[in-house]
Amino acid sequence: MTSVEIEEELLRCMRCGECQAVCPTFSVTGREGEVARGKLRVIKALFQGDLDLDAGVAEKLSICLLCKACCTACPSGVRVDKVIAAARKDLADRRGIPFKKRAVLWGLEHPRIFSTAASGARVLGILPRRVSIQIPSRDAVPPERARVIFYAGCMINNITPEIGDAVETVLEKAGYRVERIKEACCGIPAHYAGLHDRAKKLAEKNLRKIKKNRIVVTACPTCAVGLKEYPEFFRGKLREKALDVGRRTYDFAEFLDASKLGDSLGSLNMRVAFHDPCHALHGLGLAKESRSLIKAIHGIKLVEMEQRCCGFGGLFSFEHPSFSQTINDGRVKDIMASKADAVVTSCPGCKYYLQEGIRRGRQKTEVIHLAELFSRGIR
Amino acid sequence: MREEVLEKLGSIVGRGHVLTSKEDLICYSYDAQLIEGLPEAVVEPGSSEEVSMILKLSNKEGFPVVPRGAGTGLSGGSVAVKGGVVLTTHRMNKILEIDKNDLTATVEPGVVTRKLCVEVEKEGLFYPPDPGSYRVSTLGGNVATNAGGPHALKYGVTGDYVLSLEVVLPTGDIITTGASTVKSVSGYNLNSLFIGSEGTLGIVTKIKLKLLPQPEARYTLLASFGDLESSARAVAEIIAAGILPAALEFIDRVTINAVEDYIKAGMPRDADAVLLIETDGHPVAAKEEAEKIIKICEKAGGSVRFAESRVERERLWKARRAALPALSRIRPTTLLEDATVPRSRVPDMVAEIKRIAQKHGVIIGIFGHAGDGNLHPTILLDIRDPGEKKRMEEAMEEIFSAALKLGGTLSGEHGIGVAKARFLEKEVGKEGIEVMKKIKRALDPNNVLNPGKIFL
Ligand SMILES: Cc1cc2nc3c(=O)[nH]c(=O)nc-3n(C[C@H](O)[C@H](O)[C@H](O)COP(=O)(O)OP(=O)(O)OC[C@H]3O[C@@H](n4cnc5c(N)ncnc54)[C@H](O)[C@@H]3O)c2cc1C
Ligand code: SF4
Ligand code: SF4
Repeated sequence: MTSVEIEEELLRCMRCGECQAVCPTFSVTGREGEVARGKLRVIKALFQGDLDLDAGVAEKLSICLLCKACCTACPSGVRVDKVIAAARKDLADRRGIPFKKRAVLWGLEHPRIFSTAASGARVLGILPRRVSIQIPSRDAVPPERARVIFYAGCMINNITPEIGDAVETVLEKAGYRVERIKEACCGIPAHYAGLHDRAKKLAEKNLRKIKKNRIVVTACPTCAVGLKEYPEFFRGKLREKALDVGRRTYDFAEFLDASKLGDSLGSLNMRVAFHDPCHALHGLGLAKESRSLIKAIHGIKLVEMEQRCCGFGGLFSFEHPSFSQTINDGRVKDIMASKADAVVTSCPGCKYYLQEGIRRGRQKTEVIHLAELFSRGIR
Repeated sequence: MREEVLEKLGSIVGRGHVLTSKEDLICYSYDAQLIEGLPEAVVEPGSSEEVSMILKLSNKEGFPVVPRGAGTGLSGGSVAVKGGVVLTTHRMNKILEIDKNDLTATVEPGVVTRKLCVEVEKEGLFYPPDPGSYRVSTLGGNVATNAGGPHALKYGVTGDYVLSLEVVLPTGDIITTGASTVKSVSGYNLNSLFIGSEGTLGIVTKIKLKLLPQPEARYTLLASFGDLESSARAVAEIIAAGILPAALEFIDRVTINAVEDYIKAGMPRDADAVLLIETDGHPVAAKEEAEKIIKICEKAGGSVRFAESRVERERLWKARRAALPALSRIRPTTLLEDATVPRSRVPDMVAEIKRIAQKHGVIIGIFGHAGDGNLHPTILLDIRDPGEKKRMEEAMEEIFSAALKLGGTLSGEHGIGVAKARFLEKEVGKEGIEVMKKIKRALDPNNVLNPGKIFL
């Protein structure tokens, strides 16, 4: 984002305060510094030179999950996510990023070490996830028998491999030939931490790995958003490729057509609540898709909960564990109140973090990915 | 602010609840208007007692205290224009009681308006005041600005629901005004002294509100008119027919087109005015009223879309609610005003505003509450352009004068605060201001509570 673009966004904020209604970090403290309106004002002050980029300001800018809920709620359509990411880039360029954050990122991009650490006690409330914007729109979902690339991403590869297995099973049953590539991290954790160049490198790696004209299916909305944001990094040919890949990238929930499973789809007798991942809802604009998929399975009773973030936010949960857990506790409460047998979600990060919260609250409710629900429903 | 004073504040509210970093102060330097002012500290009290101690300290040390709810005010009311501390109410955010027998709710001032609406709805009850900001505004802020929304025509504004208040006076004394009963004539009506006082006479720390039973049915319709006069005729005839709709909202052509560009709500782009009308109450009565309204609108030359389902009803409201967002996308800066005229003068006022817009070469969209004459002329501009800013200010001033000339008031909803302080004398006269000042001086001898507001 250029400084002129940032300025335009800052000016467009009419300070109505509507973002307070949806911001997860604001819900924890009720403080203006923790909501989009306040952050935009702080960034404006930085811009105008009224404020120095010191540790306090850096801290302020880090208290945001980049969940994009404010972007959806904002009457003026301010791209808060873009402005915050740009400010963090500036911050990282000038001050670097904290050691803790760097360490986690490094782990992410070196999966072997990362997964060992992760399995060794799920220490890392740390994992990646992240957000993004829907830049390229989507082509129509292609017919079956097509070959598709399943882009699993770090969370699925390292923490929740069961989701990957389920995605493959379901897509194959639906008539697709599933290909795996040795993908790199989608780059969102680095991008949203302000490490623009690093994210760009990862983007380039992935773009080179994804063959022309291939459909890409993800089961992590954050990865999907990440892939769709690639055009921001490039000009010229690579940008063309990035736009093209973006258009042909689908989240599992929008890609799967339950009718393609035909008779192999049995019934499941359970009451489930659906948890909307922020990036599915605010990054990809998906909400109806998952619900109609769930309802396509006989015997399932779907209950609705109010929309709320799970609190994960990838690196955020590592940097601000208490914020993150407070948000998470709120979500677990919703889940308990729903009296569902299981919570279904469509994001590995949400799955992981909701499980953590449910365990911490000594509860038993199961958390499963939409793909797992379907692989269970398949006879 | 001296370190020693900050420490004293810390010992009252807890150190963690006094914010002093520059970046935090910047976050409390504004509300939803354009005026800004940097406080010297932000304090977050958790109880009436703490509020009282802060005010006692402020009298002793001589620093201003500015109450703040959600900061959605549109008059600069919660901005610390004279420095001092901003006192936020967000920690006092509990719904203390919902009494289904007496139909009352008792809340702390930091409770978000929508939260109360949702909670009482669960009990089959209804809290009608619904300012456009109700998803985030606080009930304390609503009382202090006497906020009202589309429901005001039939159901009144916040003040009509206040039974009793706990108020911390500027000197730190805590009083309770009003009574828990619907009727009370014991002494002066002190509730009304604090309702709409914009945080200058006391800090509201507890509110007892009246509730209503949930209306059984709602009917919604959208009527579009080729010219302003026929829409005005329709409004006048609806009221003259003895019908009090639950909402009677107006959208002008500029706004209709902005909304269509934004969400394609299916409103006719060539209409000069659109009315969104809702009736509620007993299913039979509400339906009958809706049918009468349809006839009246059609007779006045309007064409009517009736919402058959809840989904369709939502769609119509979506168009109305999109008014401000849609306008705000056209130019970088959006300035929402709320000059109000007697409802019979709405067409004159709309015509005046259009003339003023043309004269000064600014875009003004108009929407608002036709039923009670409360319009929202919304000026769109780029505030960075000094020429444009000047034209906006001139236009604004003329709009205020026009409202007063038509027998109206400067502000139907948003209050005077700083933004309109200059204009107040025009409306209430020197004597009116003097009475207000006397009240202020009697309650706040040291002028510590929200100084610089309402009067200059
Ligand atoms: C998009 C938008 C739409 C709006 N629509 C409407 C509308 O339809 N109708 C309407 O009336 N207003 C409307 N407003 C204006 C505003 O939302 C209302 O004035 C609201 O009541 C302010 O509540 P708040 O909690 O944000 O108060 P703030 O903005 O924080 O404060 C407003 C005033 O109240 C004082 N105050 C706050 N809390 C207390 C307290 N506990 N004790 C004493 N004083 C206190 C402050 O000092 C200040 O003077 C709108 C604003 C926006 C941004
Ligand atoms: S909702 Fe949008 S315009 Fe309103 S305060 Fe938040 S960022 Fe600004
Ligand atoms: S992106 Fe999410 S956490 Fe960040 S300011 Fe917006 S709503 Fe709040």
